[in-house]
Amino acid sequence: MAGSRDTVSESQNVGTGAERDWQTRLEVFSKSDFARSFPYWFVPFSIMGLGVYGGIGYNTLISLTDYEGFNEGPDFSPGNLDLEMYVQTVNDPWVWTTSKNTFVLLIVFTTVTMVLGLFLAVMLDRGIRYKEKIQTIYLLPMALSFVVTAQFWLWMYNVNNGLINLLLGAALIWQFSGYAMVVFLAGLQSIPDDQFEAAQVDGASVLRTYWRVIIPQLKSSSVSAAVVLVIFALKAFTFLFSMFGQYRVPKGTDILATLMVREAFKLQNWAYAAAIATILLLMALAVIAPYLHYQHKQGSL
Amino acid sequence: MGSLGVGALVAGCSGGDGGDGDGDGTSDGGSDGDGGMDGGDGGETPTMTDDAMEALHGWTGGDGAAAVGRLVEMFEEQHSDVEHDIKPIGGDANENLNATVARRLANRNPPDAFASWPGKTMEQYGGRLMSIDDVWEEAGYTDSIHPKAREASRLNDAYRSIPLGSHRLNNLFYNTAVLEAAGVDPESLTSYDAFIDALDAVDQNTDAIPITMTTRGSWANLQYFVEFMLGTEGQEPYEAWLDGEGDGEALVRALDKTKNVIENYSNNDKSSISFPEANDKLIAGDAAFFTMGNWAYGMYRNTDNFEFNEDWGWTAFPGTEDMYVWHLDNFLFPRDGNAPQKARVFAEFLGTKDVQVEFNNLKGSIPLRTDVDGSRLTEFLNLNVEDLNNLEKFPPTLAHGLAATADELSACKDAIASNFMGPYDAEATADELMSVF
Repeated sequence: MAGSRDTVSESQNVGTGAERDWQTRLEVFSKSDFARSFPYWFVPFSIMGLGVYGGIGYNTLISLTDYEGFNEGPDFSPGNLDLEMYVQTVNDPWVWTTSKNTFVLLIVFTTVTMVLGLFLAVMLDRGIRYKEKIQTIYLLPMALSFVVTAQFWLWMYNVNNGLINLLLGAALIWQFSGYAMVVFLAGLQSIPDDQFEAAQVDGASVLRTYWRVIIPQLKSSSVSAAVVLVIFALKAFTFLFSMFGQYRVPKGTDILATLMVREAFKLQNWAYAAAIATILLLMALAVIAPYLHYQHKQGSL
Repeated sequence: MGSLGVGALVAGCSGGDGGDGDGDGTSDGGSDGDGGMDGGDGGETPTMTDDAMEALHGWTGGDGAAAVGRLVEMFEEQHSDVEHDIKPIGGDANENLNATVARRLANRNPPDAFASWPGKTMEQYGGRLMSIDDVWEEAGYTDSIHPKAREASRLNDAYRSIPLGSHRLNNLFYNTAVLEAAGVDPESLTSYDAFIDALDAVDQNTDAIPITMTTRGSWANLQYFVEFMLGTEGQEPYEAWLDGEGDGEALVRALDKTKNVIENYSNNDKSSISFPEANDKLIAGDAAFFTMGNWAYGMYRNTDNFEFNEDWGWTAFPGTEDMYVWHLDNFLFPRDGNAPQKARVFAEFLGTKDVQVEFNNLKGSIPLRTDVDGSRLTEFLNLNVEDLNNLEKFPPTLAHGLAATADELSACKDAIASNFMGPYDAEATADELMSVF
């Protein structure tokens, strides 16, 4: 950048009016925040852009080809790009089954975890006894890897010597309610005490105070919790893989992510797997987009 | 046991290498110029490259790790000049190994050799494997390896793999003490009806589980069905089905029998335990029978004071006495690897008598050389070798890929996963299974 300033000062002596104007603009530009911060944001931005959006773009492109097997790479010639893979997915009953499972997991897991997390956070915020201990107990599972918790739950589900036998989703909910709790607790603690006092003076019950005054203020906490939870629900693949040790899991727990990995790495139907990946992405967006839009309008995003 | 330690060490040391090749992304220019590094493809005097020979396998634990540990040790003794990188990719049933191989083949970064199933499973790699006909011919394996294994090791008119060992699938293991207590004579177990009588006897006369099972993965249910199909309907209807000329009614009958045994005679926790956990019940004397590929035998051998014929016994799965249900573990050799000449050295090494004996003794599988001295093998393995060399019916295993391409096997597992993992619907399963072939 020092070099460019030298050039600018040198040419200033010989420049005509118009040129000088251009030079000045360049000089102003080089001193602007945009240019000066460029080295700092450009690298992470381009890595993110390439890794995330490049990845999504390349995946979508592959999903339009007929790429399969090992012998030939994907054929990107325009004549070859079509939506055939998506037509196939629509006609594949297994895609419907796994989509349904994925969707149920997304909705049930996210909702129950958030409600449970909110409940715990409110409890803790009321200053109950053994607050720190309870907080630790609930947060600890978050620190454990999926691999550990999956094995752990498999033992507990065991019909003969298991402690409990519940639905599969319970394991994930257990692991993540602690996370939701912490997010909500942080939100709750940032709300000034005056509001509780004011509500009390107005004669509102505790329940009403939370329902009408406090919870509506937790929207931004809800967004961040929801986003993370939805992502983890989609990543339940890790959990299922740890639990069953293979990409093929029992039908009731088979989700799009496991189907996608099976199609790609067991059957080398790369294009088909890419189409499933795109569907998975759209599903995630469909779940989260309306909420994000709402939050954006409210200005809390 | 020295080799066991080596196996564990090898597994431990190379565990961290599993991520190799991750960074390649999925871009695939289709250029495979790498193969030119070596003159082996058509040159007069093939020379070795400086690259280490990279071989991937999935034997990370127990017998497999011990056996491959011994294999590596022997390779280093016999070929100290051949640099190698033989490493395990962990995971159940080769799941991660197959995924790693698939990714690397697609990225044109193949290993020099990898363990897999030959037969129809190998077809998916067609076009990516090199011919090792020269190795087979020079080493005389075209004569000394079992004819059935020879056939399965070929693809597109050339040998592209080499068999290392075979596991037999149609086994019925039993706990002798439980059978005695139940008053069951294992000699009598020659038909489905006799088997059901025996299961009833165990149920009524002892506290033990009649048959310990695992139904956690669809492969196990598929394998159980195939055993019952072969035992009650026979080899012809089974192979007719694989050829696309099956009789749906035969499948329904076999599935109903499978369902009867799974639902009425097995352990309650079958859907959440793995096969070693199921086998533990037999070892502990909590169950009378267990049917599994003979890799289950490795667990008996590794249990102290649990001896063949004294504490546990073996009989062919009821109705399959004249069959050897056929499975193979092979090493496949991709083309365009970094060290094709070293891979050839490795291929020849794998077929030698000593390797086949030592590896399989530890692995609990059966060597495929027809000229192995039976006294060098354990008693149980030798019994199987005799069957391998004398029986005439070799129905190929379905759940372990010999009889079905990867796509067909996946469709079969879909059929089982949808309709035959509880609740068990024989009709619907049969319909779906019929439509696969």
